[in-house]
Amino acid sequence: MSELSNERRIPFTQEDEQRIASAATWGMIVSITSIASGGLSLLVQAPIILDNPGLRGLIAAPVLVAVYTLVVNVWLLQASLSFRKVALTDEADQVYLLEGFRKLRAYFMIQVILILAMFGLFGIMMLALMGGFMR
Amino acid sequence: MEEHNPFAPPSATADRPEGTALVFSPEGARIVSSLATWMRTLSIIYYIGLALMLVATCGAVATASSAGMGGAGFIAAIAMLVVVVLIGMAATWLRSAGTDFERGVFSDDEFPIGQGFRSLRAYLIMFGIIGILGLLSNIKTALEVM
Repeated sequence: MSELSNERRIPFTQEDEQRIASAATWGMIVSITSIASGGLSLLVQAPIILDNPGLRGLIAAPVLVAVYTLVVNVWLLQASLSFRKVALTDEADQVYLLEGFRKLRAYFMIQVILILAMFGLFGIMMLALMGGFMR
Repeated sequence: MEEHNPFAPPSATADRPEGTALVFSPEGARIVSSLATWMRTLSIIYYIGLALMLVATCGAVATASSAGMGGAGFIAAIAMLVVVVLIGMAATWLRSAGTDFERGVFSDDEFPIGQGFRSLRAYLIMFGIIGILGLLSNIKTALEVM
């Protein structure tokens, strides 16, 4: 092992390494099942929307949801793979840990931003509806 | 000059093997601090959702009781309370994980990071089980449609 990688090794206990490996495994399960669910939803919804001429304009919605699901869960998958390397290898633990944290941050950040944006959109729609009723 | 005391208890830093000290770069500390902030923000959103669901549960029970549907309202209330408890647990684990990661990085100690992974694992196990159930439900729907 090189001197650099030895310097970056983190002395986790055996129990902690097992926890990290288990968290990584469950992270992979969450990401893979979510991507598969997103793909299946698109496969089910797209033909229904495309068969109905009145709904064709809405095809972008399930496609956007599927793309969002894919991107977000690829980040979770990458974070999980990095955490797995922290637990299963003794090289460059800090580098892998920070790489995992960076991807995990993107995963949680996009969720918060999307939820806040949806709340904002909902608020604007409610205000517009209330404004319509007031007139 | 300080005298060496052979009976002094060992310090916490003396046990750490040389060359394995946990010192993160400023950029690493910034990433973890930012991660902790986003995790805590998401947990606050979960708590707000939890409060809204509790209000909705009370409203549903009151409506069902006044409409003479006590049994159905009770079952619906139990189901919503289970969801509320699950959201509360997820929010607590998420908040705890973020705080522990941040504490570990800023105190250069791997122990809180291990604790953080324990909370993160619990959070991911819950969402993993929900994900598996959701996938099975989606497969069933897809098979029915096709």
